[in-house]
Amino acid sequence: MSSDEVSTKLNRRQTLGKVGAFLGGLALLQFVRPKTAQAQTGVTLVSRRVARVPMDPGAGEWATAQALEIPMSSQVVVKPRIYEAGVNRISVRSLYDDEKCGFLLEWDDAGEQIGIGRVGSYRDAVALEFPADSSKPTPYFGMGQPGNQVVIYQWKSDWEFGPDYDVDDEFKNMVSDYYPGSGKAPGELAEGSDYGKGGAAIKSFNPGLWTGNPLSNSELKALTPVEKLTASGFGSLTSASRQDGLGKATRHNGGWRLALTIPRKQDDFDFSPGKAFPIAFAAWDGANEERGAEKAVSTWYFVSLEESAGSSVFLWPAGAIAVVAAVEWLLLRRIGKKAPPGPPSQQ
Amino acid sequence: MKVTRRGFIKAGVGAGVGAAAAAGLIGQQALRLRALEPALEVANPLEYYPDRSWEEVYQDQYQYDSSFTWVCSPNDTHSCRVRSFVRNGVVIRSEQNYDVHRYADLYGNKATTAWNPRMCPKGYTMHRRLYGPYRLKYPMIRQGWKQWADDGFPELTPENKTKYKFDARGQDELLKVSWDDANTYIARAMVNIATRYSGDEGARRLKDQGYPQEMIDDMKGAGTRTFKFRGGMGLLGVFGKYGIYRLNSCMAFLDSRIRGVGPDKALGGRNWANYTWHGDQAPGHPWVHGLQTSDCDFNDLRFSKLIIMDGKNLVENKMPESHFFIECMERGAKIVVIAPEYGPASTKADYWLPIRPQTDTALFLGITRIMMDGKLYDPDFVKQFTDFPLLVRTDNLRRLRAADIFPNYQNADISQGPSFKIQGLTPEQREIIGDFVVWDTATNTPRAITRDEVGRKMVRDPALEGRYNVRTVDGKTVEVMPLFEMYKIHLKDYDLDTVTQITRTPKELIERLAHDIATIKPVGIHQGEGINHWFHATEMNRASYLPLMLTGNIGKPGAGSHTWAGNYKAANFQGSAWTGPGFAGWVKEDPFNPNLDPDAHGRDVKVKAYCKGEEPAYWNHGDIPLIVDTPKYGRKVFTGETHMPTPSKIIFFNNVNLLNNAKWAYEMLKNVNPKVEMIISVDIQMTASVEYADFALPANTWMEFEGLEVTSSCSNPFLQIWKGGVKPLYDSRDDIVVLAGIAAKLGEILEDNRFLDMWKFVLEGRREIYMQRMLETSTTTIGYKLDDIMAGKYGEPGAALMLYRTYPRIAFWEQVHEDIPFYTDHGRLQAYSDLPEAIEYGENFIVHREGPEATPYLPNVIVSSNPYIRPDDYGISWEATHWDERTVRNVKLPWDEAKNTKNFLWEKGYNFYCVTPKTRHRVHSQWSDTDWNLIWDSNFGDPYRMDKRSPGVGEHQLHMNPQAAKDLGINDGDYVYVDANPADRPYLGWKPSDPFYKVARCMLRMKYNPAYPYSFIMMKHAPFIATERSVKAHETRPDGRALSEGTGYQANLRYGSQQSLTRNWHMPMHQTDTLFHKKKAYMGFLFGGESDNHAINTVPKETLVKVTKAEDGGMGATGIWAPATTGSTPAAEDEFTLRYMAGGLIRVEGES
Repeated sequence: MSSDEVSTKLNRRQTLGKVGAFLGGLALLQFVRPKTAQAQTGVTLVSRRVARVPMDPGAGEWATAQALEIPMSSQVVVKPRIYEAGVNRISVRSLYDDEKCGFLLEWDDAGEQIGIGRVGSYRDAVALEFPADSSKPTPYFGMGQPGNQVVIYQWKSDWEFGPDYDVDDEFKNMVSDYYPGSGKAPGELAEGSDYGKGGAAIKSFNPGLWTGNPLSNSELKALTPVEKLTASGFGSLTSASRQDGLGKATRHNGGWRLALTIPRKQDDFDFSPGKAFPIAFAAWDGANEERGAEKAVSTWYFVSLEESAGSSVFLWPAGAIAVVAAVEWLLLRRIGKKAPPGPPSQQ
Repeated sequence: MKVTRRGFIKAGVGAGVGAAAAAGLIGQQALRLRALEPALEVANPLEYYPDRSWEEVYQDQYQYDSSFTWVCSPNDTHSCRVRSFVRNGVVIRSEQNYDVHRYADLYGNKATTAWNPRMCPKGYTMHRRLYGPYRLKYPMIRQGWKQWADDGFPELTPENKTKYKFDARGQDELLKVSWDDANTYIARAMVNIATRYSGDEGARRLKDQGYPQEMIDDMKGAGTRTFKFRGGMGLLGVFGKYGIYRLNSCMAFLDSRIRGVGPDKALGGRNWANYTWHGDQAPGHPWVHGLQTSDCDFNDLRFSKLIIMDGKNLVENKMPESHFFIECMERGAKIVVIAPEYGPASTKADYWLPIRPQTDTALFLGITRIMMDGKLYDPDFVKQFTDFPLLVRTDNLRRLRAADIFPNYQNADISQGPSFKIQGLTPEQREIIGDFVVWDTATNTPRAITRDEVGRKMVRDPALEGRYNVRTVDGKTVEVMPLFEMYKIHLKDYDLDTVTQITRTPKELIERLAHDIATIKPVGIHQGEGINHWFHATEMNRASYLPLMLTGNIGKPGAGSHTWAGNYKAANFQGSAWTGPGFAGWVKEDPFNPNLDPDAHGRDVKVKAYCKGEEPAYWNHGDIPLIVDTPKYGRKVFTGETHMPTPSKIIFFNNVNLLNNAKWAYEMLKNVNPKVEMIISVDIQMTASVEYADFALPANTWMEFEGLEVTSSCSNPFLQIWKGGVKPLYDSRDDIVVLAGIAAKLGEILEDNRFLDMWKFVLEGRREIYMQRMLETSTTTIGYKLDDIMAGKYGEPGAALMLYRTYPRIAFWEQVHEDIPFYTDHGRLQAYSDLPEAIEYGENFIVHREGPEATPYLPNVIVSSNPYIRPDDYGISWEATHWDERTVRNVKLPWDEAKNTKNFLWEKGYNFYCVTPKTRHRVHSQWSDTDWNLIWDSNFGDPYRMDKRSPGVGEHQLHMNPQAAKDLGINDGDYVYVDANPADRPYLGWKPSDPFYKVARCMLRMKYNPAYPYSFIMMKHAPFIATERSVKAHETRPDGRALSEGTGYQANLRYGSQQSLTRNWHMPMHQTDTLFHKKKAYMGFLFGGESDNHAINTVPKETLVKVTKAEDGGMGATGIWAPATTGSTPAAEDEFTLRYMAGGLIRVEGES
């Protein structure tokens, strides 16, 4: 083969390759593209399917998911209001697997606050919210509304780091004469962290624990730093009877990086691919003394789980590629027969 | 949170963006207002929440397995019966027993239900003390002391004092020891020390040690007289606490053996006083009516129509019973407070008379003058019950006695009258006091009058005014006049303008109070430590009676002048000729003739005093009496023989934190106690006194008592007998068992069973026999059977009503209603004393004196120009600065001259009065290490101890006028040093380089308090003092806590204490041999000293101090204490707080 031939072939190949690639891409897009219900740019968080949602916020899979930047606003609708909330934006990515939907939330927060023990100190926290019943009209983004409940998963810095936290570590100089129920013998100095170690009897003397207040439940805190709650409007926040959220956070670049997972199967609906679900976020900057309604909030955004491709998704492109290849082969043959001999190539 | 304009706009924009996004994305639905409606509309929560199961947790908390009652018996005046609830063997809570309405007496009288409920927060936290970490768990012995004993008790030369750490007790170790070993060591030491100081050889040793001859002479050769035993406020446990005096009686056996003398010459030790040494007594009371103290049941307060609290805080310091005076508001009574500061009591008052400290005498003299000038008095009462009609000689200032003017006068026969038949007057006493004289207006002649002629028994109409000449039996013509006439002369110095200048009290308020006292009945005056803790409390107590004597406000419901501090009243179990020995049968049973018959009646118990009372004040003054080298007379002894102390070689106390409560405590620790050879503390917990003791013997708490104990109170009619309800936690014993154990060991060592006999029924576990004997021989309990009381025959098991003449008990009810003499020599309330000492000291009249230290003027000056006050100044210079010279210097000046004199200390910058009242959150030093109480007790309570300079979970604070503090450059919350006269405080011979000086110098937190006048600061008394160990602890422990290593003692201050500023003062008027008055626990009289009755009163307020900044109050010793930067603290109020205080946060309709 002369060099001209080679050159011609190459040019043809390149041309055909581009065309083929274009056609193949078209075919691929036709069959493989995610199905989003409403594909408004910038308000939909696409959750990417993985075999297993990692709980490690530093896991590489998270980087494969697209990030959605959520602008946050100060909560000024109801009292107590806040006018300069500490968290301005949250970057969110999402992955999902057969059972769980996972979120990686990253936000700047220079003043790390575990927030335990000190009066006037508050935890860092973040929460995501979605309507409890997807069949109903989307409720008000501020804690839902009467008759239209929202589900909230809140990660709390003190729950995550609480089990490792000892009030005596925080207050190294503290003193107490006697904790009846500390397990300490009379005359022995009890430390604050001994409280509750005296066995079942102490439960009666901790009304929070006795009445099932999760804030008093050290066993729950040891299992998860994420509390699941429901709400039907301001002032109606209620801890869920079944807790199924998980989370793990690390400090990263002067902020928090949190992996939070929730079951895809919720009480009244499933997070299923191909649909968009309203989702909103809230964040509390403990160093800014934020707690309760004093927080940063977002409005509704959407999360959409990429639909599973299936085997046909891959057969159709393969077929299309084969057809394109056949067409190309035919075209090349025709081109090869009709073309006159060219001049020798100039070296 | 501050909202800036920029922030608001940002937030608005943010919210707008959010809202717009929401609107764009999900439509208008999100903005519907119903979204902002409450999720739940709940009109009636009880209807809405049918599930009230959450309440079960609280019901569960209150469940218990059993309960028991016990008596909270600290040194307050209440003795509340408390019910504790036990769960799994542990006390989980305590509460009021609400039982008083069931208390009855033998005759069926019952207490009013209005007494309920009775208790205060100290009772609530008692179980924290019980189970807390500061208990004494086993007997302990000081290591150096043990070595001294093991070495055979060698003489304590200066070298040996150092070798065995007698001069550094606080640095030594306390070793665990068995009870048997502890008792053995103690018994051996008693034998050794008594032997060492007995006889001529003992006297020589003491002389060589520098003791005055008078002290040595008072020992009469008995080494046991160097033993000082103190049952801490013994009424708090009549058998366990007062029982220490029974043990002291047993020391007569020891003396008998050592000196080989019989029962006629054998002597026990000295019984240290409590009430007087605490400064609790109103020392002027015996000078007015002859009784140790006038007080009433607290429910008598509700009958008052005018209640005057003079230096008394009934709000904070009578907590279970303060409601009785509060009730008076509803009953239309008027409440008046006289105090330098605007305190809690003032908030309840109709009006408050601010007053310069220690000038209350001048105030009452001014009021008395207004009443006399305006004839606002009851002449009948004045003539019948006071000494105003008795004639006084102008030549020698003595009362005119009948024998002075009637030749061959024989005292009238009153042997069948109340003086003899009721009050126990003896013929010998009758001869000494004689009869008195009034001017009979009917005959215009002098007429003799006996002490029985009081009230309606006074048949003559005596003159109150006029001057008369009488011829004495020795031929002299002497001018005499009724005391009333003399007082008119005396009161010329106390016109309204002068009194206003002296007291700084507004003139119109003085007039108003005079008018109220004159026109309202009944009037009750209540004086407390705010009066009794000053050097001239005697005069202030006496003066409070003057307006009441003029108006007949004595002996009637709601009337009288009473004093309230300390549960002192052994007289609740007083004996009499007709009942038997009472209380004395327990503490003074004749050790050589003990009654060992368990069935014997208490009347058959023989009583003999082998011990002698003594005021701890002498030890507290350097173990010396008041002896001054005077320019005029040379060496002069001011301490009466009836008061004379002996050298202190053993100090044995129970139920008292003796060293913590000792004024001038660091002088005791540094210079005085090294001379003491054995110090024993019986206590329930670790104290500074234990750290500086040779023995610590652990006692059971009230809740752990294994046998019965008895107490009662001076402010209620309740007899209380109880035992504990939980087993002792540690190797501790009931107090009475501790004492019996020592006696038994002495008997064993000396092979003398008499020691055991004296404690026979205790050792046999039958202490009830002694209790029944006391009950059946006391005037107030005769007829009661212990078994009946414990069986609940009179209400709550263990409780009954004392058998008083009246309910409420009213002081001097018998005197006024049954014409019984008061307990003075002439049988009348007394405005004048003709005792030679009183005349010499210039206090024959009730007169205002400036304090010997706490004054801007010449220390101790007598403010008067009365020619019938003729004091002796002993030639002591006005420039003299020694505390004892100031104590005895009697200079009389009218106010116009006195006000131009100066106190050298004031001139040197010591120009703050410093008072140390009782806090509501502790009972003196008790509860000072209880965490909850400490948190409540100051503005610096913090269980987290975020500022690790805090010695514990709270710390001591100084209240000061904000402007005064600012003028000194001191911020609210700073640490400050407080210093008193550097010549003697915190201890003699201090040097800045001395490590002990650092321990002893008072440092505490500053708290701005605008309730205090400029030159008047306050710190509560009796915090746990800093010790060498506690200072070392907070300086070396990583957490900075003042928790002593090795002992676990928890101090309340980093350095020093309020006792760094105080000292003992040997008040001469408290040390006479001539005052005629009633015995404290028997129907009888005596002349001169009796501990807790007529003896030196501690006067800790008698000090002037200087305040200087030590450290910044902010965290890390930098900047201002954070709470003082919030805008909500005194003198740093922000605009909001000022508006709040001005009522600006409330808008009243109709007002602009």
